[in-house]
Amino acid sequence: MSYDGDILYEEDDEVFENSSEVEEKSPTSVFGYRCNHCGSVFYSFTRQNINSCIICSEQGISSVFFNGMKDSYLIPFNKSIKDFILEYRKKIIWNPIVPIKFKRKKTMWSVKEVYLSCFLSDINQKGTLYFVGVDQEKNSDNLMEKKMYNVLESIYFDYTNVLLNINSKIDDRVFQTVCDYDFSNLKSIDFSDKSQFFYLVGDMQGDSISEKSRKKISKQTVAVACQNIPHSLKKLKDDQSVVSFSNTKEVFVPIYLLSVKYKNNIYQCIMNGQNGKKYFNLPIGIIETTIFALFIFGLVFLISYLIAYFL
Amino acid sequence: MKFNRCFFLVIFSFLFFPINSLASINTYTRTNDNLLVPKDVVVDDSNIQEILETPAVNSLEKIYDYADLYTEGEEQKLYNQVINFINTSNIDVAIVTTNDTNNYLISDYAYHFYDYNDFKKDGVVFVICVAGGSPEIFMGNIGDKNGKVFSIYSDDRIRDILQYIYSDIKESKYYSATNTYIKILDGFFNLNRVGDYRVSAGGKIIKIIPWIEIVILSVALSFIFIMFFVYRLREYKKLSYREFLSKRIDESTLNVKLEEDEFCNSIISDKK
Repeated sequence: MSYDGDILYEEDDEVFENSSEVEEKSPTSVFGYRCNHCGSVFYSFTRQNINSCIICSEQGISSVFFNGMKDSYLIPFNKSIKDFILEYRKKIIWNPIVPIKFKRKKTMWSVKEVYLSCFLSDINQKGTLYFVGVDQEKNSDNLMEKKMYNVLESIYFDYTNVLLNINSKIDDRVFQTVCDYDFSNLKSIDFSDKSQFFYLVGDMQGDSISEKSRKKISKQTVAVACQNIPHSLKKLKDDQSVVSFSNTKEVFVPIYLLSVKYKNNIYQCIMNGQNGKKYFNLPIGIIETTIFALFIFGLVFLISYLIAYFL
Repeated sequence: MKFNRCFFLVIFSFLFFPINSLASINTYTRTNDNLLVPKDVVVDDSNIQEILETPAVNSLEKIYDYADLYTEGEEQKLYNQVINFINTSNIDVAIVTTNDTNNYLISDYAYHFYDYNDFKKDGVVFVICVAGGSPEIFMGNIGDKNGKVFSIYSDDRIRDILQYIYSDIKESKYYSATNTYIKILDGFFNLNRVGDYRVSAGGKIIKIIPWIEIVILSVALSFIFIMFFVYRLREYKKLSYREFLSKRIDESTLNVKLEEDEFCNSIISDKK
């Protein structure tokens, strides 16, 4: 048996039998899973009997060896799975256009407590930004005059606790909506914790992560810097600033993740495991909507008819 | 001996069996001295001729078949129907068939007939005139304009009734037409007075249902309900990364300084 991260087989119980041997040899007992469909890799410190991927909910899971999560931190869960179910039920139970699949208990309870791997860092951007500023006005001959200016701004921006999702399978904008975490109680990962959490590791490389952060940070910096330019139009001409990262660490943030496959699309319902912020991406069921529309149509039709008939 | 026995039987039957009074119409003769009009009719030069030319009848007979369109049996059945209707509705009815309206319009003839005889204050008059080519029919309503006769037998309903029974009149089915007429009178009376009703192709009185409005309302409400639930489903607003980052800027160290702002050139054009 090799330790190079090769895929083992989910159906084969021996794999898990053997993995207990690994457990003994390895400093920690971590069970790794890889989705054969989307390629997501996730770990658990306890052996879990899962058949489908926690991200794409497709069948077909293979086992992988633990690749290491050294120097990683996590934010503990404050919310329970019942809080998620309660919120989720509140959202869908009285909504007749949500597909029936999403209302099944089995679906609801397939929610997973996941620690999502993110990069947390403080980011500084400093340097000079060159803009072209434009003012336009009518001159005395009633012609339009555009006055152009060279604008130079020196900037110094500190962004603290910028969290970056490094898993491409989790929608960035959905994650941003719920990722309002308090980082004051970061804890080191306790490998001896036998709770049934999943640890979803990132699939982005270091360079692409910093490039992604750099682009996003610069965009925000330019937007703020623009507000300081006293011209009606402004355009960035040159960016002579430097973005630097400090206190970078991998942090596992707690989320409740419910992935449901519906008509070849994956719908993710995410709740922040620390403060309960949520984003439920739910589809509109065509059949359910049609039935509901016909029901309302029929009901209103009947009531209107009876009113018209008897009054 | 045989003749005597027959004669006796005829005389006996006349004496002891009721004679159908509807077989012939008792029409009285109006004279200038005795116009035979109800007390409330004001007689003057403008209407005396009309009165004299209007048949004076016994208002209890109800069926006045001058044109002889019904058999005796049919007349009796119609009479019974009319009496039943009058008893339940307290609305008087006069059914007149004629082949001569004395050169009056059928409507004038009908109203004169009702007004100058001793009918009740509230009532309806139905006239079939078979003079000339195609027969004419008319229904008039008499009473207080705000009273029950006008509210039950509105102009629209009268038009509906006449339209429906005219198909029988055209085929000379006078009894059938009159019979249906009385049934429809009764039908309208038994309905709630408010609401719109019409006579169906089968001669039944049915309520007019505003189908188009109902369908539009149903579609509109279905749409509104669906939009409401779609909104409920989509009420979460995704946060942009810029919004997210704006919360992460350390305002204490933030420094944006305008170092240079130099005019470089200008472009003049006649376009905006």
